[in-house]
Amino acid sequence: MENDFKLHEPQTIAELQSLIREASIISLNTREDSPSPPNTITLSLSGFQKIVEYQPEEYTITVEAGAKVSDVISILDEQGQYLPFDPPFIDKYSTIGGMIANGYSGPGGNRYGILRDFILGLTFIDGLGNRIKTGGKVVKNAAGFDVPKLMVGSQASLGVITEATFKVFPLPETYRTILFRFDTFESGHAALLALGRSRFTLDALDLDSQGSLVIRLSGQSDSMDVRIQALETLIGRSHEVFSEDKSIWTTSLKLQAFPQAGLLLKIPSSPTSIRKIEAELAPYSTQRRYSIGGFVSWIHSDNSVCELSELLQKLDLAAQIVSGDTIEHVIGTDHPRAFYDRIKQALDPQRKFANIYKK
Amino acid sequence: MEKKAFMPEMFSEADLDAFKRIRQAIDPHEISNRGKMLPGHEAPALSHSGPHPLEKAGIISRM
Repeated sequence: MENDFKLHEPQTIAELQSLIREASIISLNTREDSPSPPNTITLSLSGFQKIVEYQPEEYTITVEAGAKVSDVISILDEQGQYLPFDPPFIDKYSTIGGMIANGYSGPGGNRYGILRDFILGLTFIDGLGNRIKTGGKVVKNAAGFDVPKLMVGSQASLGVITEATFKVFPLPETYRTILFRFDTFESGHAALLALGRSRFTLDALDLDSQGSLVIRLSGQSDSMDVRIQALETLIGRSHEVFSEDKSIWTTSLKLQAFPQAGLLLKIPSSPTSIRKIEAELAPYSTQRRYSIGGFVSWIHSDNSVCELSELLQKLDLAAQIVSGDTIEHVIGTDHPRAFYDRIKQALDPQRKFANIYKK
Repeated sequence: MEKKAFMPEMFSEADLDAFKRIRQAIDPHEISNRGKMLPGHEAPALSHSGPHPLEKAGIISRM
């Protein structure tokens, strides 16, 4: 490691603010194993791990951004509550701030909404070192711009998140996860579309490239058998029991489930567009999983960033890079760029944070 | 809009300034719904009761 590498761990907001004011390039390090480019002030929010406020009866929780996602999940679990968007790719290093900056949602987003639907308030330090508090601590709040949602998926390019408030839900009584196997992707996809149009409220609805449809139901245990029978009638075939264990969803979505090497991409999609994505990306990828009813595609590929970016541009798609040996954040089309550049200029005029688009 | 006057109680100066910067970035001339969401400007509709200003000036007219 370089001699000039130093991890800065501010303990107060004032310290964090002055570090940001003095720095010329800032990188956030939530992972001990990730390298940082030279001439960079690398920040860790390990000094900000407090649960600021948790009122189970209000169904809201406010935590500092350096808090570990796994800790927050277990604190909620003790009170029989959870984050229904099912944060994926969580390991022992994952922080709340990193989770928001990446903006990923797991299969559970299918029923109750994704990360951005659960974030009520957010405090961050912008590129000028100002502490900005947006949103609120209550569910009904509409004052000012909805900046918390803007920061979801911003990849720490607009500011350093220091604190966030989430809406939380009560844990369902039981879960049931079932699998419907189809011979082709097309027939599995047809079933996914039929389910999307149906009256069923599925906790999770994922499809893989082999045409297997994985469904999670949640609710009262005595209703499960009836609901599964009704699903079988609609789909026209019988199910296989996948697992009674809710953790299969998070473990199956962990990075380990995809090969470590290569690139993992997140492509925003739709239940209808995944058919085209499957057809076009199959030759360029090793694994494809269509999650949240088809609205998110997770694509693993061994091809080069350059090649994939060109292909995505041709298909008019954009992808966020989840993991891989590259400094790129977003590849493919850059339609939202005009908007992003303006927001970036407003919040980080001196370009201290990374830019999610290539220069 | 009626809560606009209380925004400085909920948000600090830095917060309101960030909102202003974001607004400026997207709508530099503040032509879309001025005075609707952020304090600082009066909504044009509030200062123009009665006929439309152009009607008052005799530029447009009703049938």
